[in-house]
Amino acid sequence: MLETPVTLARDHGPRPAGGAASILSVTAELPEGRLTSAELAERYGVSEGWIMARTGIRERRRAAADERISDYASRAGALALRAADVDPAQLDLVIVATMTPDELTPNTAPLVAHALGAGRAGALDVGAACTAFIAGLALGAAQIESRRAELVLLVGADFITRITDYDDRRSAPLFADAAGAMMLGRANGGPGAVGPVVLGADGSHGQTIFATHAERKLRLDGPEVYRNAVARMGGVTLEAAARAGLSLEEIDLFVYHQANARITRALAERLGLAPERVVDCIETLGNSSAATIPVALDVARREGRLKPGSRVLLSAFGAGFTWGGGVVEWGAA
Amino acid sequence: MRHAGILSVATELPEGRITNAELADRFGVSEDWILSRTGIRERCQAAPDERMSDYATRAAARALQRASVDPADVDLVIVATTTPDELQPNTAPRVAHGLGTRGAGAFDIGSGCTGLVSAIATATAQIETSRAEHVVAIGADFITRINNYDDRRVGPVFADGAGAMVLGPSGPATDPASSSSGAAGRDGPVVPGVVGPVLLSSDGSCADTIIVTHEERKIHMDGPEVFRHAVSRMAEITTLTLERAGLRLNDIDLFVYHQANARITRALGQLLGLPDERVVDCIEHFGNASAATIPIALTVALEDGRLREGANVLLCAFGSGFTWGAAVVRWGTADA
Repeated sequence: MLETPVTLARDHGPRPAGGAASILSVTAELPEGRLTSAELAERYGVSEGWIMARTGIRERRRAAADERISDYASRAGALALRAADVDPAQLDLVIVATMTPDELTPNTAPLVAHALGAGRAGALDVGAACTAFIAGLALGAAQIESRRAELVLLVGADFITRITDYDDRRSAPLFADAAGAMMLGRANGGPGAVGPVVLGADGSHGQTIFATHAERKLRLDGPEVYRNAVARMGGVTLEAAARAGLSLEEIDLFVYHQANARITRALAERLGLAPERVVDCIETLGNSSAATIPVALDVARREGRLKPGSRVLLSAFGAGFTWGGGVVEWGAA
Repeated sequence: MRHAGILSVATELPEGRITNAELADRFGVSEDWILSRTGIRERCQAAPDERMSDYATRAAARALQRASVDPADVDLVIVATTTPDELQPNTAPRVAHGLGTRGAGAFDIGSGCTGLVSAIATATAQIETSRAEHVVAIGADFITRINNYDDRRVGPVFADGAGAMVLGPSGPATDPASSSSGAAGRDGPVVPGVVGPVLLSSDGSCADTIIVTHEERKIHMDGPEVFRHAVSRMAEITTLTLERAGLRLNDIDLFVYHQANARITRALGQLLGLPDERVVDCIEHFGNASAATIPIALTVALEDGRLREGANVLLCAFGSGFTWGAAVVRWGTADA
């Protein structure tokens, strides 16, 4: 087992010698285009209620055919910089969590860094499917804590409709397009810290969610994903909270990857979380993979559910399987 | 804060080779034409039914064995690659499973040929902050799968291969990078090696210089432009990283550059005034396997006796994006 790098329990436990990393802002950039469940219902010869009951999604965002994910990632990043009042030239590192880059090469991060005017910032993409944003959070926070970086922009961006199998009425209604961004910097002594982040994987499930290069279409075994997603996110929630030295009652808000409303509800039931402590924003946004966590945080922020000092649990699960969970203390206003 | 070190390095290379004779025939040029432009005589190529994730797994298994680290003690597996077997899932969870880790975290890193330097930066900070104890960082690419065999200037450069490193807590160390003392990890080998400063950089204005679309899956590259930028960027970041470490060029025992092309490596050596014996140039028999070249080059240097315990080593790479990066490392492995 790992040492606990940062405990968020008040009055006890160390914070990193280099100083904690903190979330300075979070923003989202959503396509205007919408694909409604009514449209999909017609296509599949099912009712809108059939789709709603299975996914919780009424409409999902979809980028136009000529739009580029790197542009959405850049705009989300620009909003996050502005919200945190950070000069792009000061950025040390740009991380983009994605599985749907515009091209196979180059990666998305250098395009975003350039578009933002981030000078010669380091730039890398992180691939861990729907878990990639949590992996990027672990990566970015440690760069700051170790003083290898001061300011890190973390973007989660996916255009999953570009690799959706519209012949499959079970999986197609889930997926969406979006970008979200988070500015990470050094905690300034006030509230705000990235606590423990737990990452896990089980590669024996490599065929449960997959897409080949030749086909570029996501195939998934829904019931198997559902079962594992609930079990793994439930488990990692408890582990991350324990490492942070917190009980679930001491956590103010639970932000799960918005994969499917049924998964989020089953998780809340299993963990005994009242609905008002769990963000569920999939109804009008759908599942945009690595983008759902920053997008859900942005929704919660706008609804006034995030305040400086709020303790927030973030968790995701995706192809691989990969999963992750982290506890953060909200610092951004 | 404690330090991180490289505990071991290992590679896994395909048996298959593409010779210049074969390529010369195909492109209607002489073998010398290829050799003089690339410095490559033969390059590794995996068979069509082989999987990149299997090579990555075997390289990592060997690195773990060399470091005497039990797979169950691995917290994180990072795979730097441009050429995963499938679009999904990523390579790292597959490798973590193949190694027999106990649910270790797993993610891929994409930054072209710079990927392994990015992975070292990532792994090092996870260990320094005690977010992880043992991390496997892998650079693995089967570039021949996306190679452009219609372009005689591009086709001869690329190759397949995998390399892996195990990183863990290190110290107590005489650290080239900092005056603070390292703290040993609670378990596992205590090594004298230390990862010092790692600098990463990018310039997305040159994104079209090396490009591969999803539809075509074939590399298009503006060679002269890549040459020009690769030499100047790697030279520049070599200097900056040494400055950060408080070292001069003369303090570095071995310079290990991404093996992109022998002309790039030679031009770099000349620009920086480095004697040949302190620069690893092993592209002749391996070719350019993107994220795998640095572990391949380190292994060659270990085998020819140029990479010794206590050596100060500069690792540096440049690739599509553009992205580039460099690390200063005090060499000291667990299997010394």
